[in-house]
Amino acid sequence: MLRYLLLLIVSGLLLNISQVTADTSSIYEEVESSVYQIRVINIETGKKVAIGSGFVVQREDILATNYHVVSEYVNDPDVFRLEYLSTDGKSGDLELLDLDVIHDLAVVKSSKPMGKPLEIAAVPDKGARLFSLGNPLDLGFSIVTGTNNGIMEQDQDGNILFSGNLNQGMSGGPTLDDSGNVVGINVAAQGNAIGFLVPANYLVTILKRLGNNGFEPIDNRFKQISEQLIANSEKDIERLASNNWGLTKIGKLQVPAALDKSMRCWDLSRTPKKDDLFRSFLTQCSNQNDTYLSKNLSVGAISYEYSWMDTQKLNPLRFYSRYEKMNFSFIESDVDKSDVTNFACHTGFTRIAKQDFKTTVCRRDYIKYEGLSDMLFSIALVGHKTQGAMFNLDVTGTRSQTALVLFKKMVGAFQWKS
Amino acid sequence: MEKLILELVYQGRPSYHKLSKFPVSVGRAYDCDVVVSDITVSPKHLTILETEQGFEVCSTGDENGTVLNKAPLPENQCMPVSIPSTLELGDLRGRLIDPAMQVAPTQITPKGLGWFSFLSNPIWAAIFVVMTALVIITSKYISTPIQQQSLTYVSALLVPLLSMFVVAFIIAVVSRLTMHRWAFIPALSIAGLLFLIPLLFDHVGHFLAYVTTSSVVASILKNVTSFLLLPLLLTFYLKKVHYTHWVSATGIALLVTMPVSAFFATDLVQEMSNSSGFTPMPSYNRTLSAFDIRMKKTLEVDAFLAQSEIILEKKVEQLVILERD
Repeated sequence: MLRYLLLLIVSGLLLNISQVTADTSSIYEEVESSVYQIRVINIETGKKVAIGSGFVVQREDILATNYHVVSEYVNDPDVFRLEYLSTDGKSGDLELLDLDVIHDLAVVKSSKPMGKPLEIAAVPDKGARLFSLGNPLDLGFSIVTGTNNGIMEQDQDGNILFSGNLNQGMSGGPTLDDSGNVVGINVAAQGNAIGFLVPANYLVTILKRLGNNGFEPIDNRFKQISEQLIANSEKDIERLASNNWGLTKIGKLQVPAALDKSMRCWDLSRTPKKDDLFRSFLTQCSNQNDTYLSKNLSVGAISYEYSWMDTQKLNPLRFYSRYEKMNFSFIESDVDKSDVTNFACHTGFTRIAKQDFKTTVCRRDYIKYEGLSDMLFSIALVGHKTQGAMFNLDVTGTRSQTALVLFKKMVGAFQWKS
Repeated sequence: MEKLILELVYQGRPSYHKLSKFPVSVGRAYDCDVVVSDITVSPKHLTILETEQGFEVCSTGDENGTVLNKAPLPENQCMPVSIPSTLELGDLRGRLIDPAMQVAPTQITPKGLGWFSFLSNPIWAAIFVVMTALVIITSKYISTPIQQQSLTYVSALLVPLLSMFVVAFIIAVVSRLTMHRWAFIPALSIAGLLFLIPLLFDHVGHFLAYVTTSSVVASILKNVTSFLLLPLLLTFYLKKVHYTHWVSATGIALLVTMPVSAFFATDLVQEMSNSSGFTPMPSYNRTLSAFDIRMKKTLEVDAFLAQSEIILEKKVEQLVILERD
């Protein structure tokens, strides 16, 4: 009897395994003809500069992929062209229809029918099995099985955490549920079996917008990107401004603590030494939000730092010589002349927390993205002989007025406790 | 009683020959009445005669010839001359002058060691040197807010002080060669000022940069020290120590300082081309001062931000136009 029972369990297990295999292979067979490799080709040399994956959606001639896969083509359509490559080796040209840089999505169109459009479905429950498709490292089409770990709340802008091995080249490929419907788009990977998917509902938004316009390509891609970035920055800052920040102490100043759960804060103070003649403290916070625009350009960062310095042993002249050296601020990024203008700055003195501060506001604008600016604020306590305090705030890829609101709200919360 | 003076200029310094008995022979030969040592002059170069009408100059050497009042004197011929007249014997320059001609007024040298004759008073030279040393030590002390040994300050002092004495020595040697007297005290005063003024201007510039919230004054002071300080000090030195005329003193000073000015000019052009190019770094007035003396009033945050918004909008608009063109 026991022997039969054991046999039943073993055969049951075998049955289960064969069931999984059947699922994976049947899903692959079912959707293979709807998944393509997407390539950005240098028109002059005819060689590819970037590859990713894409899939047919909504209409037979429409494909969805990641924005970062096609970003070179979007930024320089005169230098690059866009091409698909099917699993059976056929290729042809594609054109850009619409994009969403915030969620890293792009929709492109072919002149020929490309296969059966995949259906879009809602994200299944946490723990559900998902199948991710794409062309990892240009090695050939693959299917990867993984687990849905739900939508991330704070970071990664609401992406789905996918526990499965996503690789370079699979970006833009679809991730399907058990019934072969698209629930997300592969977007990023981090270390061992940690992958991120863009929920497919953001793709639905773009497709709806396109449907309303009769699937016509957008007129001005840079204007579109710029509007999306500004709207996103406004939304972010509005959310931060509406939070109850709480206060934290740095020297004699009470300042806003973390603006949001998504802010990562670090203490970067120098380690005190025995024969130090002054004390100094530095804390830094930044959001984890970077919207990819091109290889060397990401925007959407909000970061701020507080520093405090005081002394009982230095005379004011020596103290200020040191304090002045700490008074600098810049935005870390790889931007160049073709991206942004130089900074324009204005410096004056303001009354914050009943103290006087030397205050500077700097702004630079993006050249291609109209209305988009980087803003830098810097304040330094003055009028105290042996105490100094600084606060720097940078906001990239925003509207100048939006960043002013955040700065005003933050310094408005400062308090002086003597 | 001399009737005529022959002035000959050797290596920039005139020598005078009083002529009373005529004819007077001039040349390199030792039996001439006026023996000249210039190698471009012929052994028997010319003769000066007294006539009833006045004087005549006769060319007796034909090698490099004689130029009288800018016109060549024909070979072996005599020409009447008016007094004064200029002469060129080969490369040697000279003049024929009337003994009664007026000389330039006497340059009165300062009597004693007055307080304001700061070039010749050794006390001033000492003050400049000591002040430079003090400013260097104080700057070093202020700019390093950590405990340091006194030897560090000595080492910070050595190089500038040594350079200052080298500069003073060079000036003094040049004076000795041209004027045949030592003028070490004035040279030290000039060298002292040359080191002290840039240091003081630097501190004043920094102070004013905070007062005005602008770097304009500081950069003016910097350019003044780079381009004007050395020529001005040298002009002053030439005038006061060498008794050179203002115009020639300025000319010499400008000429001598040309290489230094050229160096600073290259620097300035480089800086200007850098600042007109692209930089990801914001440039704003970062100065802070313990005294907190300033012209800009403290504003409420709202007022300041409203002001900034308007100003930045304008500035950025221009930058964007510049870039999009």
